[in-house]
Amino acid sequence: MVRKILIIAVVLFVIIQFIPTGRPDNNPVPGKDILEIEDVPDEVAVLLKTACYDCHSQQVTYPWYSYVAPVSFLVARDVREGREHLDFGHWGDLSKRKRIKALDEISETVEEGEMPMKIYPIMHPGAKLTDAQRQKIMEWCESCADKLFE
Amino acid sequence: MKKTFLTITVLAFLSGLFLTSTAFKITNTQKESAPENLLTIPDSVNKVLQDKCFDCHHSGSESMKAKMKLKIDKLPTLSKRKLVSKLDGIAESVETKDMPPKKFIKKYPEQALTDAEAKLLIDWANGSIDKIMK
Repeated sequence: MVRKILIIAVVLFVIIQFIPTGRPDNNPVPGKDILEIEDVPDEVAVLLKTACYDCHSQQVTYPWYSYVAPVSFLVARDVREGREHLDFGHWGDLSKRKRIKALDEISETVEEGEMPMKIYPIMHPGAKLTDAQRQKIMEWCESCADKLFE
Repeated sequence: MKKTFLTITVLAFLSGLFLTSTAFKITNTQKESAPENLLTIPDSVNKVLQDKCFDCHHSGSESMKAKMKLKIDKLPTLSKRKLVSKLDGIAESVETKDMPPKKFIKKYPEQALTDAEAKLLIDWANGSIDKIMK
């Protein structure tokens, strides 16, 4: 009985490897990344890169397990949806008001602890933000948005 | 039976009281922010906001999520930056028909925005942003 279940599980595991995940590719466009456009202090840039860029940019690093179903489905979906909400790699395509809104939403979601998503730091410990780091990001969001009004 | 009826009446009365008091607060804050004149809410827009959005999107709302995204009664107190963000959110979510939520409209069809109401909100939000960004 146990053996049967095990065999079925293994067969299923192998089969789902063939389902396409729709994992989005990276398509960086020179000059369009936020780090090339806005004034981002190094300290903040590092935080964005470690805590946000794996979903919200065109520089996603896919770890080995993101190629193995069913985790691959989760990763693909998170990157797809993440970019839909905010894509630092296409920052240059946003109008001023959309940039202001994005910065405000970054600040809000980081403050509320909604972002980074709880599941992310499990495999990326560097993305577990301290209160001080959250504060840094929020302050930068505010000053960056204020500059956009000038 | 009589008792339930009584409770319902009392509850209705209380919620009525609550609603009028929060509604009052809006006009109040509007006046407070008048000198800065960052945001004006014409009566026609205010009515749509009140009728179709306010129930979920105010400071005392039971929906944490709705409250977090937008508190209509707080709009007049927001900074430029926040205002642009919130107004753009209104314009965008109404435009894409993300708001009012589909599930909610299914349950309360009368809460859907008419095309004219949607246009009114979108034009007001966009116009206000342009004024703030100028």
